Amino acid sequence: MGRRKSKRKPPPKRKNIEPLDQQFNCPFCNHEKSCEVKMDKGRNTAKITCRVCLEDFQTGINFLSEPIDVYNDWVDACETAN
Amino acid sequence: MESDALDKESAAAALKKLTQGESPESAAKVGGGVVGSKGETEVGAPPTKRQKTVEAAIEQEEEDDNEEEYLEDEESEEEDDDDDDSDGVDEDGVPQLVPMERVQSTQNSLRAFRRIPVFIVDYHNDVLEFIYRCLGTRHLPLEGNTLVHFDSHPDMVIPRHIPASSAYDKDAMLNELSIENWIMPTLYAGHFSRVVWLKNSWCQQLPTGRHDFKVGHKEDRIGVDCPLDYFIADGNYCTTEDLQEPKSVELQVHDADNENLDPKHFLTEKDAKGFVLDIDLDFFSTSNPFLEIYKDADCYNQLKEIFHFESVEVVKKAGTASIEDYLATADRRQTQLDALKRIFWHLEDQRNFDGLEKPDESVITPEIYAKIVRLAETLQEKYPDDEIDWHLIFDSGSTTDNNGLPHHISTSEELEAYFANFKRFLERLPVPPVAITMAHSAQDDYCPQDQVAFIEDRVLRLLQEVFREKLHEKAILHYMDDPWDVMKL
Repeated sequence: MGRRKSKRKPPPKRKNIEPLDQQFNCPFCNHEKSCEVKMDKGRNTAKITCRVCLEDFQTGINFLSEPIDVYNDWVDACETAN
Repeated sequence: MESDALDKESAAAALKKLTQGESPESAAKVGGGVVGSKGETEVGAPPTKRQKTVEAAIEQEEEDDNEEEYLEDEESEEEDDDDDDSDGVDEDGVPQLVPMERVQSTQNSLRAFRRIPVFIVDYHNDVLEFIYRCLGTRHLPLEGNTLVHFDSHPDMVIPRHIPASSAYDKDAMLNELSIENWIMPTLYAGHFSRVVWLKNSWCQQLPTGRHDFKVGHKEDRIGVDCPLDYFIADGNYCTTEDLQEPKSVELQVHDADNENLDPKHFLTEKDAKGFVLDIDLDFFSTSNPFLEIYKDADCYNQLKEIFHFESVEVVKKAGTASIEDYLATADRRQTQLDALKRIFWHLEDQRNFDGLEKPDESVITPEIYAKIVRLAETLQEKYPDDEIDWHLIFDSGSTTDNNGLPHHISTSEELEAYFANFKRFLERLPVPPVAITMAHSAQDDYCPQDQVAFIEDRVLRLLQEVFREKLHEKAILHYMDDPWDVMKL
């Protein structure tokens, strides 16, 4: 009902959405990019593990969560505990 | 584009905090994770970690019998260290952290922005990039938010070519959606359960008032049981029984140029955590860009006749409308659009009517078919054939419906009145929004390009005047590729 449409004739040029970080510095052993995230969106959980010092952390996620959100939750949890 | 959330300095700062002593009182055992009904991990105790400097290690040994053996080992190592390790670091500078027990997260609570961010795009659907991040980072609850949508258009078209299930596929949504259909998938996914469309009275696409309806899917296509022309005209009306996985939606439509408009009538403090203020600058001044398309051939007026359909509003006003009427109208309309699309797509491919199978006369009457032929002749008289884009003409025709797109390029005086109305609305808000999204809509010539910069500037000033220190000083200009990171807001 009088709904607008885009006038773009060629396929719209999509902005390149920069991918977010996938590897992170460990807040414990401080090794760079040593932490990797495994996301299980089916179970709404994710785990981040440092492959150097083997510290790990688990958190709840949603289907829009990104690995960096898991890392941020870990840093926040550490700061809270501190 | 979103940049790295935690740079090296931040990580070092976090690490520095971790190396400071922790009082025994704050140490707590970590409970085991329990998977809840939604698969989220829950714990009975707050997360904890043990860490120590030399002093803390000694205290821990004295006060925690359960960890005595482990801590004695640590203390022994530290005593053997001849370097100055009073700050708890070894000779390589790595803090001597005790390997931690697994930290289970309780970080499922909402995050809060320090100040209200403002995210400005050109094409309106691009605000979803920011909204999705807010949902992912828990700055907004995943479901049940309220969208207060200032716009000259509802933007609630249902995207028929996109499967309903794609509403849970962020990449598909960001790539496939367009300016007219970006809201409905968010309603289908439950991210928003309330939309308040604030328009000026010269916009007529939806009647004012409250419209409660269900959104769901039928054969993996989004449908609604709302019998408004806006939805019926696209063939997206479904009976409630036909909708799978229905969700309730509250749609409110109000005239923002009504002095009596008070947001407290539909917003309360309960909305504080999940309220997005969305402003399309074409709310203040808008053109109908399709009026300009092939103007020399009077294309738009011819399309209005070709695409005309019988509104269901007539029988509704007579009080005799039934669900069968809604379904029949929706079906008739979709059949008509499909037939017209076949014709226009043929013209785009073949550039003439040769080989085109005549449509069913009950769908496209001979009179209407003659109008299409006349339109083609007029266009070919006025424009070179290779300039005639039949796909665009079809899109233009499908915007005509029975009311058409609003066309109201505001004068300076009108703009001042609309700014005043907008400011009054903001001042009456019972709670500030969590985030503000804004769209120019100028690339597509909806907001006039010679007005958009001025309108943007004024709107930002108004937001600053009302929200003051609650508002981020600098808006994120997505259309200028400003870097952004929701974790730094």
